[in-house]
Amino acid sequence: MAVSWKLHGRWIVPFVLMLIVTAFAVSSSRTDAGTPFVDDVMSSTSSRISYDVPASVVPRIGASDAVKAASAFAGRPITAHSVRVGLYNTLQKRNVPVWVIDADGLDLHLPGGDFFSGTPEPVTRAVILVSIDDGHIEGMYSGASSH
Amino acid sequence: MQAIHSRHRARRALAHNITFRIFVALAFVLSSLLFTTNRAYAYCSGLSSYVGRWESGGIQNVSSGLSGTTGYVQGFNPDPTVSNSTAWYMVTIPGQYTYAQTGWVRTSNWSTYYHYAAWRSGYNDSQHEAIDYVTPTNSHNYGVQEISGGTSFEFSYNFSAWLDTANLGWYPTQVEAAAETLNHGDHFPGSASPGPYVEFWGGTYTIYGLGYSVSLTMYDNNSSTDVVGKTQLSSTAFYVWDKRCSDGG
Repeated sequence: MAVSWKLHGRWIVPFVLMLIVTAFAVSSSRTDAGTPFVDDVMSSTSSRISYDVPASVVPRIGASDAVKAASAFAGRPITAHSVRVGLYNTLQKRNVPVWVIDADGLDLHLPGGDFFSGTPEPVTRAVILVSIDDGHIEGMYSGASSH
Repeated sequence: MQAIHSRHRARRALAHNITFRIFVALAFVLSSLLFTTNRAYAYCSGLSSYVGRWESGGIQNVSSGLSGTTGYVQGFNPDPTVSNSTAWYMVTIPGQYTYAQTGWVRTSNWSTYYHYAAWRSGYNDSQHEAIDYVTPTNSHNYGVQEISGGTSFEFSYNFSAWLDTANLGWYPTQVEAAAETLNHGDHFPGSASPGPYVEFWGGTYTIYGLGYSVSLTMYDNNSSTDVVGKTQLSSTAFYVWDKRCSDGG
């Protein structure tokens, strides 16, 4: 029995190490794959979305109308991966209530590049922020974080 | 008899006077109508569409310590736009897909222009775009400035910061200010005479925390010669227009 414990004991340290490594790998992969697109895109800027929305904030336009407004902005029907009410914050704006749309299937040609670089590829996926009051586009963010 | 003649003369003079005034009034009304008609039916349509690049403005190289630029750009609402029509200021490492740019832009789907910031840190980086709605004003000053002594950039509109980037890890070496379209069917910023043109003025740049007026060398990168008109006013100011469009904006 004592021999058996000794044999088992030899494996405990590697086993625990393996558990730690596995747990770390799983948690890391969850962070990479599980970060919502909205958070990923916004993380490269000082702008933020808060989903801690007071009950008093009631959208005047519905989610489907918000998606329609985003589609009009994109010039084509978009695929909405998620649509949530949030509060939009920039260095100037404070807690502006918006529909936060993770929009896919865009073909937006936006500026970028200098005289001596090529022009950027069209934006195909973006976070589009639609006013919950009148449906105007309050903002748009694209470009996954790489910093 | 003489009295009758003089009364006739007086009546004729009065009639001539009234007729003259009516003519003047009619001429005034007609010319006003003509002017209004011209503006109402101003022309910028039927532009042939093909992909290209029409980019016109100025550049200034800065050997070291460049940390930002700011300047005024006239607002404009170009129509039609097939791809986009834009006017901007930027700092960049030229030719390396490394820049921080801000200005206004209108694309084909929008009824108005928006203010934007765009940045990228090399060919392998994602193109980052941020568009923010603000209540339109007559004055548009755009700025991009490194902050906190690092390589994060702060974008401002009318001298109010609205967006900070993450740390981008590069230092710019050139200032650029330009208007740009990417399709021959786009209305390049500005209208032909009598305008309104899109003017850039009051440009500055910052070296080691000190501000200087820009000294721009004019530069063009145009796929054809029939689109862009440009006049340089000074080392800090120029204006552009679309030669094909007399639509009064």
